[in-house]
Amino acid sequence: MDQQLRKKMSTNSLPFNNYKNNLDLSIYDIINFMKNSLNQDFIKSLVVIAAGISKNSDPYELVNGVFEYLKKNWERYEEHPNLKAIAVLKMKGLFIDEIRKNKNLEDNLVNDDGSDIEIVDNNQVDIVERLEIKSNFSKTIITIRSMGEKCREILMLAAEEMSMQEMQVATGVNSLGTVLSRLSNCRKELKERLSNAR
Amino acid sequence: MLDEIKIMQFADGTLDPSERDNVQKEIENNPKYKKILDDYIYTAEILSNISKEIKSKPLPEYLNNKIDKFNRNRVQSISNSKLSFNFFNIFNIKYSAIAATFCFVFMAGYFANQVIIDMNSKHQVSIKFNDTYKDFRNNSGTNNKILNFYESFNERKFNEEINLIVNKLKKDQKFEILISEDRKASFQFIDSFKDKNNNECKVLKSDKKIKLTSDGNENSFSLTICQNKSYWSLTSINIL
Repeated sequence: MDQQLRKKMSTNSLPFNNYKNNLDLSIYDIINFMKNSLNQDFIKSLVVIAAGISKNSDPYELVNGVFEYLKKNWERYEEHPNLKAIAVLKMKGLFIDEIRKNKNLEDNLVNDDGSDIEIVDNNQVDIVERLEIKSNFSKTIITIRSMGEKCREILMLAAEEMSMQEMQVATGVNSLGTVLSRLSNCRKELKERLSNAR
Repeated sequence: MLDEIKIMQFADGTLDPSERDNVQKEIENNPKYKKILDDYIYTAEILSNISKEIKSKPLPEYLNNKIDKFNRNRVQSISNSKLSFNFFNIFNIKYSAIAATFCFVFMAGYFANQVIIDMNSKHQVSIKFNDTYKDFRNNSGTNNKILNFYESFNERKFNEEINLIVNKLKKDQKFEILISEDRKASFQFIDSFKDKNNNECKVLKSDKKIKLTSDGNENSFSLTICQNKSYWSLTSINIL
């Protein structure tokens, strides 16, 4: 481990220049050198993005799911250059799994005559209540969650101030141009919806 | 005809610098573009605000516990595999020189009759006591006081513990924390500030006088902790 850490420090030339003559470091200093960390700030960033992705489900559940995944596979992702994008992709996967699971469940729930049984979704989350969002921000989050999947996602990625390159990885689109154009269109749509909601 | 995406990038400050002047001129000369720019600035603001609002809320207890446990295990595993490092010599950690120096300036105006122990500097450190400066560590390297002081204070333990609770602390809140493997002390979170690197720092004042130094004296003191890449660590000990 020592060698790995020293190697990592030597490759991070900027911070390492400050340290290289003195390796009397505390544990937290060493952790600080590591690019990725599953700390509160990182997890809260994921909650912001999950608030857009999760549609009607609980964003904390999605974040919990991705936390468990990253924890289990930490050796693989510890040094990943774009951990947040990986986490977003995983959250989307978890969300899709949840939809599929519910869809299968719904497919089986039919009346004797073959008609669908009306399902009351008891798990539908009041996002404003769940995230304890103040009333002056509630309109924004409700409006965003009423938008299409792609817009919900890219707007919350932008809210999280991810770079265009990070957004490209997280959204899985082919070009930066597509990211820019999607973000531009979604922001226009958001502005329009918020104006109409007044 | 100006591409709206360029206006968005201009609003976000992500436009290529070589294009900025031209785009700015076109926007200034066309009210339609100005309106588009205003709309992009508006959406950038509301997205930023909603992110801040969500992040301002505490995580559910079960998630917090998982994060704590994960990081404790991580620290433990690194600790076990990192025997050759000297964890305990905080005075030789160079990285906090800037923060500690900043703290010195900041705290000098904050408390009277105090000493800032610069954990990094090899230079002389003076104590201001009853308006008289006394050398705390002289240039000949006699630093027994500092070493003895530190023997009673386990920085590693303190850093571990403070990282677990710091995000839950509210201003003026009193709390207890381990300052060594088996010794707790009571502190109050009295102030926060940003250092010159824009890292968030907090000042924690001891609630009662504590015997830390080998001379047997009890002192009130404050600790300054600063956040670096999400981890909080001790940057200065200030005897009051």
